[in-house]
Amino acid sequence: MIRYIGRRLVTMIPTFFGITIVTFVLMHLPPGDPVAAQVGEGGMRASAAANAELIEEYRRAHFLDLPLFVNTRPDDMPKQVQRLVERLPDPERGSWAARQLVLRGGIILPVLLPKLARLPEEQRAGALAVLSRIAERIGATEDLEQAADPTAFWTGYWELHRIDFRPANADRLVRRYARRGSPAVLAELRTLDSFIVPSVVDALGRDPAGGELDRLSTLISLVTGREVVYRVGEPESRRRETIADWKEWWFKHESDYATFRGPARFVAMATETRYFKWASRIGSLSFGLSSRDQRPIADKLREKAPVTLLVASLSVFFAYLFAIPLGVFSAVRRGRLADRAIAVVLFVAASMPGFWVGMNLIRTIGRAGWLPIRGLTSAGYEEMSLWGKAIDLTSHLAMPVFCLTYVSIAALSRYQRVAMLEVVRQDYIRTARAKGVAPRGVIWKHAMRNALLPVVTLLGLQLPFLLGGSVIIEQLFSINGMGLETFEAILYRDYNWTMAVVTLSAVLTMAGVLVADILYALVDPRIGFGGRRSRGR
Amino acid sequence: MSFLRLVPVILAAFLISCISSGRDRKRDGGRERSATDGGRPAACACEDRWRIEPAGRDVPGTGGTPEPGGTMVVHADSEPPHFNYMLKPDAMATWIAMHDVLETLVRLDPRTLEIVPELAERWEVSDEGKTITFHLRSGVEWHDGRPFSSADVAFTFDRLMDPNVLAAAQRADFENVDRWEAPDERTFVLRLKWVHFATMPNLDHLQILPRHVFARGDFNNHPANRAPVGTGPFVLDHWTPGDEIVLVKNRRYWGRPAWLDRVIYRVVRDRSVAFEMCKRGEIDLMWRLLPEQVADQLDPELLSRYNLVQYWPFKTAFWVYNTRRPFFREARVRRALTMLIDRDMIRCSVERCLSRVVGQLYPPEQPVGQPPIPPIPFDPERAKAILDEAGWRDSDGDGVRDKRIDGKLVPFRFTFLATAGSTSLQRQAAIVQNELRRAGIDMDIQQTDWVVFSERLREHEFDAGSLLWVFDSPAIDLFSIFHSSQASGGGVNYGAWRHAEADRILDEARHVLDASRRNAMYHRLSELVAEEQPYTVMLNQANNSLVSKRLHGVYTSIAWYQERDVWIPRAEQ
Repeated sequence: MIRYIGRRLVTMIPTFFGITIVTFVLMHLPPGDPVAAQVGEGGMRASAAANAELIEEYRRAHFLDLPLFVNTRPDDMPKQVQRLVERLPDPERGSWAARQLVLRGGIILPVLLPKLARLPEEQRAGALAVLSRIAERIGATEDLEQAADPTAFWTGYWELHRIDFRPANADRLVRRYARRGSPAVLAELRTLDSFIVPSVVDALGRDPAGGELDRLSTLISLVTGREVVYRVGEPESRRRETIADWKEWWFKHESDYATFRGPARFVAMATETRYFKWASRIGSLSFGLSSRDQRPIADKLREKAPVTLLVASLSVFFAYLFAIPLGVFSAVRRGRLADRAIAVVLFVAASMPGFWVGMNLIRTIGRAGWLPIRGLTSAGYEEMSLWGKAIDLTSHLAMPVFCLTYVSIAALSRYQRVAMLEVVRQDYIRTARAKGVAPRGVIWKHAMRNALLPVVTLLGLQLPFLLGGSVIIEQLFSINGMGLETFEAILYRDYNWTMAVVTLSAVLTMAGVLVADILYALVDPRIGFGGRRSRGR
Repeated sequence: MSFLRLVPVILAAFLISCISSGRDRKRDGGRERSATDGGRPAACACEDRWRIEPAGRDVPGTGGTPEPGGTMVVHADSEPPHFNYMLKPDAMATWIAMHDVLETLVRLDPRTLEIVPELAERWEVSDEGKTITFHLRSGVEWHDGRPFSSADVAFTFDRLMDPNVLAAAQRADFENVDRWEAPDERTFVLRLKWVHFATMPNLDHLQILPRHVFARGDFNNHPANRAPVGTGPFVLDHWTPGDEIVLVKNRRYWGRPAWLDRVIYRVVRDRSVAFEMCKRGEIDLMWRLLPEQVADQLDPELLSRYNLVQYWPFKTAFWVYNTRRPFFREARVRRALTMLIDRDMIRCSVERCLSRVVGQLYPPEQPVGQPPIPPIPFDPERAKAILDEAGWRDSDGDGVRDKRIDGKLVPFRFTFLATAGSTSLQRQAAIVQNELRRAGIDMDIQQTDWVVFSERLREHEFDAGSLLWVFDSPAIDLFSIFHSSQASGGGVNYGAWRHAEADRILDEARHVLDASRRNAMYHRLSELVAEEQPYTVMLNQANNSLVSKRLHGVYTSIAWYQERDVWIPRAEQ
């Protein structure tokens, strides 16, 4: 049995990635993307240039500028610099391009300086303005101001300093500074400005201890203008957070600083894609940020999944609790008044939409003040006694769980009825009757186990529903669950949330099928686990 | 057994009776449609059923001497993503936190809409308007007890202009800012590249953020965005997602403290359920009531406990025409289209008289000191004459007007784009569709979700669409909406309307600080827009709220209700 489960688990891995790839493609097929939702909400005040800027910033932040699976022309820092420099003379977007270049900092020098003299006039003017801002950071302002011709100054500067702008040099300096933190090395590092970023990220990847991390994080904050720093003496959790934060930043911004050449270029063709960016985080169970509120998906899942799990599992439980006896009862009384009456009532119930029933419950029971009509708990829930909590929760759950339950009772009990009818016709049941077992014993002891098979299969398929939630019931009763969030995520193209839900549903469905198969074997001894015995047949 | 045979019959009878009673109910609301099909629209008149006033008035019967204490429960129909307006100008976040939790240098007075001091005590303008020196209030504390200083203001501007920060939308409000300095603890200097009249009003929305809180960590998803530390009269106590957001009184507020002890924003996603909660007395303030709720569901019992508060916000619905389409190219054709839209009928039947027909984007009271532009009256006969005159005739006899443009016969057939989910918009479009068909214009209605809608508008991939124009300040620069430079590249001049005189006015007016001169210029612009009709301005929609009679000190404002001025008599706390 364990081997069987192991084999099933192994085949699940390719299935899982297959599902995610298909979903990934399907999700991107409909028109519109999260950027549209973001820009539209900015109101009608923003200018065209600002909107274009917003779109570009936003696309980059969520990898929407990357292709889905294969990136034939991976973008890297030199290419970006090239593009941004070309855009500098543009009256509307020029200032944005300049800001982006200044933000990149010293790392653009090896790309920009060698060709500075050959740039067209208006691009060069813009580039010089950018360089004068970078000069402040690398401590060259005074020399620059004394120079008669800035272009000549920068060309000369490059001749003199190109030897320093080598990754090996940066690596060496960063390592030395991380170990000892001497001010002389720091001064030298400052002249390289953001050129040291890849080296610092490398060093951060080696899980630096407190003192080293203090110096490294200070260093990278200085050159990127993004202050996430760890100080010696702060708790261990803070140390891990800081490293994770910078890793996450590098994950997003690698192509702003890195140069993809040679083999790195081929790797980048696969890694600089939307699917890879998504899939590479799955291992650590991080689903990225929600595009709607910039919160980590994992946090939102932790908040909403238990709520839905509670409501849905209760409704599944009650559905089975009522459906199975009802089904058995109808099967036993087949064709009699009770059977027909149950059928009519259940069909009428199943055809009443949940929102209509819910609204009517709110307007009657709710208006009379018998039950609360929103949320899962009352104000002051935390201070209640255990008993008070139970009563409060039950009264809040009663109506939503009812609305979710009554619909599925009909279908389930029909399944149970048919299954039972099938079983009671079998020979062994006749045998049991013939040897004089009481009718009640025949049904509950002999027939029941076999008649449960179909509904057990269905139970396996209910697992994803436990996390899916219900849009309408959640909306109506203001339940903070998965359904409404998923609905809105689809409306606003929150790809990360959608993917997270699909991934979880895929896992749960596969787990559900597996569990159902195992339950089969437990309920029915004739079904085995595909061992040697059954293979021989 | 005979009873069993009867069951399906009884059931069928029951179902039929359900359907027909449903139809009876619907007939009331659907009256106009059957009536218009027959010929002339049935008379539909809005007698003076509602008493709707401009914003900025006291709610009658809520005066008196304020008494401190008490809790107010407010309906929240959605949850904000966070409270950082710089990153996302969310309406709910604005209502909850703007000026109440997080404050700004200056603000627009909620009653008068004048610029009044907030964190800046006073300010001087020099260098022909290009330098603004703010003198900050002393003795202001952040909610965590740390002192507020000019470093915080400088930090806020640093972040606003930081390319690492996803704040492009608000950055655009300050595109004219050159530099800023904080020469000492109490002084902040803003230097501008060019003078823009909206700079000061825009400061009303630039929340000053605490440097010491944001100094570390990624600004874009900093925890303090959802747990704001401000200087305002209320402190965010806790936020239980999906349930409630609770503010408590800031007892160390620099100004007059708020009267209320607590304000609870109770999240109720469904508006009918929120209405039920009012009936149960669980909500003190519910805003944005649906027209049906106001017109049909307010019973005397409810009105004995709640005031129905109605006012005119700066909220106008309009239809935009893509002027690049052959049939919308000419101004007179667009005017004819407006004449074919029976706005009075829509107002009366769809909006339940809770709106007014207007002729300009601004409400008639704005801009101050200028007469309102009268709406073009509904006049199908005159519209048909104009269309004939413009060459749009039904030459091939298929019932749809057409015109030969560049050798090709173009039928007057266009698609109206609407966001899905709004029933009132569907009904509105159906009324117009009928009237247009009678005039030989074929309008198709297409619904899409908001994401696709906004993308198609921005890409100018539409014929006509419906938009709602909501703003919260009388000093709005109309540049982005009407200037021809904004007709491409992601601008919001969706209709791609180009007009030389309008461009000239827009280029000039944004630099004019003198309000009356600027208002006169914008009035001229409104006249041009009315003449050219790139938009059919439809209706200024009223804001309807239920306000518990427990609440006193309530007044209306386009910046919503001001929690800090609300109080509850001790007997009713």
